[in-house]
Amino acid sequence: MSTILECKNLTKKFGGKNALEAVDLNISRGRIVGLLGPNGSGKTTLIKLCNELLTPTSGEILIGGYHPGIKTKKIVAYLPENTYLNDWMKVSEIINFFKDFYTDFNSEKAFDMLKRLNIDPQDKLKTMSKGTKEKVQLILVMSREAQLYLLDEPIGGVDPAARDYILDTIISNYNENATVILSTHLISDIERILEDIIFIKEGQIVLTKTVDEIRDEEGKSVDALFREVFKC
Amino acid sequence: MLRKLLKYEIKATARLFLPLYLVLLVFAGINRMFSIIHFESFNDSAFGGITAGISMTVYITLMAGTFVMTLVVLIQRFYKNLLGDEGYLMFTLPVHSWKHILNKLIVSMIWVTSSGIVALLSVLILVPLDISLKEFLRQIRLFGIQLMDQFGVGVYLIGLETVFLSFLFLASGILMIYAAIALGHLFNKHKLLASFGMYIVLGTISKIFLSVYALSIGHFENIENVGTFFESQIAFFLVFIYVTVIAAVYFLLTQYILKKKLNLE
Repeated sequence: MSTILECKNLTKKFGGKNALEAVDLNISRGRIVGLLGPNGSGKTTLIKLCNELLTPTSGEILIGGYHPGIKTKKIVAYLPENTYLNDWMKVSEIINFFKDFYTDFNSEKAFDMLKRLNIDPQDKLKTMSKGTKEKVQLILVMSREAQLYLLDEPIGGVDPAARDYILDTIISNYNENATVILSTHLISDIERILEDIIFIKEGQIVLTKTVDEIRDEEGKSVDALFREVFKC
Repeated sequence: MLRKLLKYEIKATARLFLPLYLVLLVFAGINRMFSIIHFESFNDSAFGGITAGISMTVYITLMAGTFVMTLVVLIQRFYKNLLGDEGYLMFTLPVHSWKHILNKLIVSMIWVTSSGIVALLSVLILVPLDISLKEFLRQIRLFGIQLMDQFGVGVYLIGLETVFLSFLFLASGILMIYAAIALGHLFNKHKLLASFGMYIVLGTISKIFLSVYALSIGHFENIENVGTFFESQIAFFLVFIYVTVIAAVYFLLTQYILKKKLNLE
């Protein structure tokens, strides 16, 4: 199986503090991976580094064989925690924006998902609730036919019904060569779709396993194992 | 990709400027109307006087507002769109970071220039054209003839160079603001305040650089006296070098911070 994301001895310091410490990671194509850890464990830092929103202090990241840059941005679909939507466009306009900048963007898919979630493409982004904005962002990201999806807390702000639809969308929308990495601490909600898990704690990877391994070897759910590993 | 960035940047800003320009011109027209009917003793009535007074106040406020808004939008589009939450979208587009800077710079230059032109236009509407405009044009022609006497046909070249240098000065001024905002972004707290401080620091440094530059040139060239065409060309060239160097430094500094030191909240 070929690798889509590789981290070699990746370290990121803020001031004198290590946010990530010597992280080695190898993620194959075609997997759904949960990046799990408590608040402040380095999940967002890792994802931002992959998107060139931060520069590593040392070590390196390779995505599809390239360091983060123009080439990787073309194949990575990123959902940040923040709402990045501006206040002057309509939904249909931001869809055109994505279509303009990403050649792998599928507008049909986007309009279809908007319809399913009852969002009017003519609505202004400005007037939307926070939850609706999150849905729009997720639709924009999942409408790309990317090779790597990096979703930072994708379900945090939406209601449980939409949560189910979104998770189904994630599973059904990506092709078998693409990898999805989700960061979250809401494990029980997403456990059913995960194939691999990465536990991260205080900037270090403490465990990487497939979900099947956890169930077979430990006889536990991911949620139960998480509670054990990160016991306060 | 720069073309696409420009398209969206112009869209995002035009919706703010175009209505303002329109209202400014309309109020210049209204004020002009009042000044015409003045002669028909409309302004002598209390109602007429108050209305004319209010419309003049509105016009002056709009005029000031146009300049304030040009500056505010220039800063906001860089600060909010690149270094605020929207930066998460902008910096994950498959676009080089220097194109983001160039995009903002070009569009800001367009709006600063058009605000100037529209303001001038509104003054021309407001002030009775027949007297002032003729006099204005006459003065320009006189000035042109004077220059012609001094420099000959080279005056056209000098005119072109003056326009070119003005735009270059404008660009370096805007890039200095961008560099100050980018530097302010490196601070953990009070980023806007830090940006303001950095603006003062950059201003001081470029003034020092200018003094050193002028002194070092002064050793072998007296540039104060631009009597002949040849001397004027040397002066233009020296100014050109100065502005280009500081503009380039601001650009590269901003680009470096956006590329290597980015840390969006």
